[in-house]
Amino acid sequence: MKTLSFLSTVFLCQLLTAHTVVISSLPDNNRPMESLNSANGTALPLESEVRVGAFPGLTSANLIDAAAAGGLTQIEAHFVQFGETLTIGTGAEASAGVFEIVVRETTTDSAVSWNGEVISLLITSPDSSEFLVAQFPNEQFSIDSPTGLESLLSLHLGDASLVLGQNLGEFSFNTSRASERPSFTTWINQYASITDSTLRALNADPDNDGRSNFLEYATGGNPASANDLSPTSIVVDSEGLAWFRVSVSAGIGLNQFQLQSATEIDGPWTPSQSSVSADPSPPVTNTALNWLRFPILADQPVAEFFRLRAVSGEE
Amino acid sequence: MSHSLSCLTFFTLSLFYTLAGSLIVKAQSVSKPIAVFSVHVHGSSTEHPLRTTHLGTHLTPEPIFSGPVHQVSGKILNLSDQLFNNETVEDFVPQNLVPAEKYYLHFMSDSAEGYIANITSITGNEIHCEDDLPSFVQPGQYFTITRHRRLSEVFTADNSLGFGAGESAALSDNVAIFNPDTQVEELFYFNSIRSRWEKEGVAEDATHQTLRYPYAYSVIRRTPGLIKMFIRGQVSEIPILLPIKTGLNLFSIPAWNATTISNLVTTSGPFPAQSGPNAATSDLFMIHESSTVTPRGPFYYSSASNDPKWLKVGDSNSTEPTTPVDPLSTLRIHRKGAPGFLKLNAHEYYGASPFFTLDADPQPGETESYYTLTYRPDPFFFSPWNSYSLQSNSGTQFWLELSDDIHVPGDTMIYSVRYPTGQNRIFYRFILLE
Repeated sequence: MKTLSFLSTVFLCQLLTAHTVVISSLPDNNRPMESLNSANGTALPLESEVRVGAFPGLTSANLIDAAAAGGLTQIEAHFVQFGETLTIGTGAEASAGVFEIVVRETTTDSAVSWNGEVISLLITSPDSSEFLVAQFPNEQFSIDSPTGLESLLSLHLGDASLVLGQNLGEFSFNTSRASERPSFTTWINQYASITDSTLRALNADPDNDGRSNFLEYATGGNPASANDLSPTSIVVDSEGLAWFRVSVSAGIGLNQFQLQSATEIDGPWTPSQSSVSADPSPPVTNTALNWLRFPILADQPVAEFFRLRAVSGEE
Repeated sequence: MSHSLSCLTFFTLSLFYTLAGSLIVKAQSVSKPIAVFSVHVHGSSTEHPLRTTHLGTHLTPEPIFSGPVHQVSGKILNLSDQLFNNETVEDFVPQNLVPAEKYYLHFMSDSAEGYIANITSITGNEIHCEDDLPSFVQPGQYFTITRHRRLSEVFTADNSLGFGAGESAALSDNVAIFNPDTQVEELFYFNSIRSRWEKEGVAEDATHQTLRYPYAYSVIRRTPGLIKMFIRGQVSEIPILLPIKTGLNLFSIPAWNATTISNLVTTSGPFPAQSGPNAATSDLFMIHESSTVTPRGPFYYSSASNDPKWLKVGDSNSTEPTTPVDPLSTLRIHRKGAPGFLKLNAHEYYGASPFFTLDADPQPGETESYYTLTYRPDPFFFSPWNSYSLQSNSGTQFWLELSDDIHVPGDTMIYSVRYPTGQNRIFYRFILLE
């Protein structure tokens, strides 16, 4: 029989932190997840990397600011990886644009910096020119029980919030170039000409052009100028199909867009059932903007009006 | 004496074999297999300051009774007054129950197959259970009564196996029992001051703590060095209905030889694994083998498309769902959906190569191990004039005869066996020769 009084003081400082996280992007009835695409709408290829981890101490606004300051390099600098790097197609019969992964981390370091942090996902295109960051706001990493009984979390990408990337709806995420716009608060404070703090609010319109500060932020506008171009237009492509086109600030996944329509300009406005997608033929190349489009009927039976609704998910 | 008990422990075979050139028909009674596993409980190391060895075996004490349900109401199950040959339940059940022990019912047939109910008391022909019996327990279904093991049976009352002892659970090696009701591990340790097993934080004698079947239990070592122990018992061949809760569940697996996750877990019938088109909508299964640190899996049963199948998460081409697993494994189940029963099969599986690998016994430098087989033939068949043969099986081969002339001087046979070199599991059975 062995007595342990001296050994244990060493070992008790070393809690086991083995831990398993499963994340799937395969669709199901409640989460009809679409393929993960690049900003141009093509499915992410198998060489795209998928990493699980955390951004200790950073809010989503901090992440947007970091991306605007230094792109993927800055994001990776703040990222604490959990387990190994995997690729698109893992666990999904090597299909582009989908994955089902398991990552396991074992360490005896009880001071691991991901402990207690929100579980995040970082996906990068093969050439690292585009990426996305998704977070599971209700799921945190935790160290295991003192006996080493591992925890296991099973998550679905459809339950995550897209922080960085291009959000095309609840179940459709694209990678994107790094945002050039920082978080809304940081961005609006850059306009020194707007001295009245009440005019820096999300719904304020200091330049009186009919677009709120947030709509300016989300669509690449200027809150201090009434002369900037409209972000929306209706175009007909070479096949005669009509589209509602909109420019949006690149890479800010928290912003969500909805097309609304009405038969009278005063409404009532109702959400259009049109699905949003990346515009394959953007009118101009601008690294600060992504171009999205919604299909509309070219041959409307009666006059119909459209408008864009942008929703902020930023903290 | 009970015919029902006899039916449980023996069955009769008619064998044909040639002796001195003539064909002879002999009747034999064959005991259910008795298994002995040698287990190496690894000590801690710099790499693994806490080293866990899972002991998820389903070897059980010999059932003491088998019979049919007569009536069911709430927590009470009634046996028929007349069972076999005009015997009544009072004739044998109470006398086979030791008051200090804990027993369970294990249903063998029909809709209740695999269901386990813990007994609180038996009064006359009434068996009182801890919980209300579910509606699928019906009159006419057969069940066994078996004793739960105790901690002292497996780990010795005086800690003679030499697990690290200290003044608290945190200063000692631990026996961890996963309680599926509370979904937490309960830790036991050998208190070096009071020289007895205690539960973590409870200064009471827990030496005879019940190891409920089919709870999962493991040893967590904080001390270095290898400890070798033997686990023995009768092979249970009855499927199991596991009461699964949302979240984490750990159970021993009903495999005495080898099985695969795809053979073990049912995916159809009234109590299947919850399955969906992806891992997030399905029960996830992991296997903690005794001999490895890293668990296998996670696995799930995918109901995607027209090709439902077992998948390993992260490797859709993996053959692991059909690869045999160590019979000392603990099954870990994560359920996101509603609680309910899950049925596990109990078939032995003679898998193709590669077979599972356990540490060989003896290890280099170790001396060979000897132990005794204790066997009490069924009194119904017993006669001092009978002789028995003893056969063994490593799990990968046919039964081999070790001795063909064993006599029982009293009512119990004690037979010394040398653990086979290079082996880590062995099965024995006795055959009554007529």
